[in-house]
Amino acid sequence: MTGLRVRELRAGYGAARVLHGVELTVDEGEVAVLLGPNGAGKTTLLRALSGLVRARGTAGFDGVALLGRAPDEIARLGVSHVTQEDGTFGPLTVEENLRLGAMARRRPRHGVSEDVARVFTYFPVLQAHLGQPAGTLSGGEQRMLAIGRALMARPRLLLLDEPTRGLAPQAAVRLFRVLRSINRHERTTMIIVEHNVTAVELAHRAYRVESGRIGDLRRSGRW
Amino acid sequence: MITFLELLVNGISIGAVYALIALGFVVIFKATEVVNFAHASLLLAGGYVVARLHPHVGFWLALLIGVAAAALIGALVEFLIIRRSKASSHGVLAIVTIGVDIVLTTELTRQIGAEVLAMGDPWESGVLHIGGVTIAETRIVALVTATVLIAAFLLAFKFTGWGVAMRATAEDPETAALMGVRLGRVSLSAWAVAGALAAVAALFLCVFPTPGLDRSSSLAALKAFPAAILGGLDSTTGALVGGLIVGVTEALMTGYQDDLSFLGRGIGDVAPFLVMIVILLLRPAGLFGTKELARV
Ligand SMILES: Nc1ncnc2c1ncn2[C@@H]1O[C@H](COP(=O)(O)OP(=O)(O)OP(=O)(O)O)[C@@H](O)[C@H]1O
Ligand SMILES: [Mg+2]
Repeated sequence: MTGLRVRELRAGYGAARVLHGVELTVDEGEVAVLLGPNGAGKTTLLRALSGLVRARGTAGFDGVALLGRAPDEIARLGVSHVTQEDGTFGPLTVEENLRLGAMARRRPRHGVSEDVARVFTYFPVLQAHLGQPAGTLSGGEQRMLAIGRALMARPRLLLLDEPTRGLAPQAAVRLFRVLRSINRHERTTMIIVEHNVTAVELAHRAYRVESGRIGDLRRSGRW
Repeated sequence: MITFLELLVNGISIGAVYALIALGFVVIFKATEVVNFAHASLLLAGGYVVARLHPHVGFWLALLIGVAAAALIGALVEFLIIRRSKASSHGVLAIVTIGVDIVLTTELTRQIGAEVLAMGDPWESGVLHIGGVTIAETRIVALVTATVLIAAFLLAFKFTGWGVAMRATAEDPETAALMGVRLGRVSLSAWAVAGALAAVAALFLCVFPTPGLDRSSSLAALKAFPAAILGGLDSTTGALVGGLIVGVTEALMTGYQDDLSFLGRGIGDVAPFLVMIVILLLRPAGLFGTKELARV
């Protein structure tokens, strides 16, 4: 079965243990939503999957082990992580940010303009700002740039840490629609960390993270 | 007036050479946040290779090998030392580069001994007369070469994938890694480019009117430090402007030394550092920089 299989994942910062044996399954093409209170370990889980935090246990993606690899290597395996801070490069232009997104691909220069055009179909506002430093965009626009840049990698697994954080309710709904459309058209598997419970509506699976452990919301019937 | 023009052109030429050195210094700082105090020894190594090899293989091949050797030494310092000590702070790494500098410089000065090594360049002591102004050919070649190299570097920095990856890494290495950028390669290439630029600079610091490469040649390279620092350690523009300020100040101060004798002998040599101190007092991050040296 292709997709993501996380088993017994443990991670922490120095002596502080944050995740105590997380189990997570997301099949290919599915959207999984992770809910949970502040400090539960949601961000830490995504960072462990993208190699930013060291972790024990196993995480297999399409049969390839992710844990123990460097972030750039995991990115080149087709895993794109949009962090909670977005991480757009402020002094670089919107176009340069998008080009960077393509660096994780096997052929970074091939088909870049087609992919930029494809990103515009999802986030049309970016088009008007192409030559502008990313730091001059609004918070909402930077979020779209961060997600659009992740799409440039043609990811097979997209990790999104609170994509609607700080957005007006209307904008959040619109972004969820775009994410659903990306999932349908690109067949991109997604893990979305959210505080906004409406995210569950677009999810195939929903999990709840609490104090470093994870529960399957759908299966437990709590949702 | 003629004297002033001659001094100005010489100052701009030597300033462009300082800018080459400062540019490498800034690239290393941007890519790795390490202040590379071993830069002058990379320069000395490149120059030494050219000086030793040209009698055997000719000037141009010697220059090519010297540039490659300095690039290789830079890459080795990154690969064997900087990369292995990833865990330590940037301040500690800066001190490590001082150690590298002492080792390299000590060995090279031992090899050079009391000799003054000719660089074997084809321009020798030729001069050009342009409207009453007399300028050494080496100065013109230095200016043209430095300008071309700096332009090529800036274009690559702006437009190539390498340049974009380098700038992204300077901004936020963690996110750059998430984009698939290989941080190790970025850092390695920064050190190699810096070494190569320093070797070219070494050539022009040691040709006419300088008698050649000797054990004090790395002292001349030290003037690139104030150039990089007064321009702003993390700014390529700053490196260029800083280089020119230092070069022109030095040339004018040395040229008018006799009129400035109340300032003491050798004012040309200390002037770059004085200018740096004044600028840092007014702008702690340098003219174009965003990071104060204290943060390092
Ligand atoms: N760099 C760090 N060093 C030490 N502890 C950290 C670090 N980052 C997070 N933690 C701790 O790990 C725990 C989990 O944090 P994490 O960011 O994963 O939570 P989260 O579920 O994403 O919370 P939020 O919803 O607020 O984003 C918290 O107790 C936090 O204090
Ligand atoms: Mg979080």
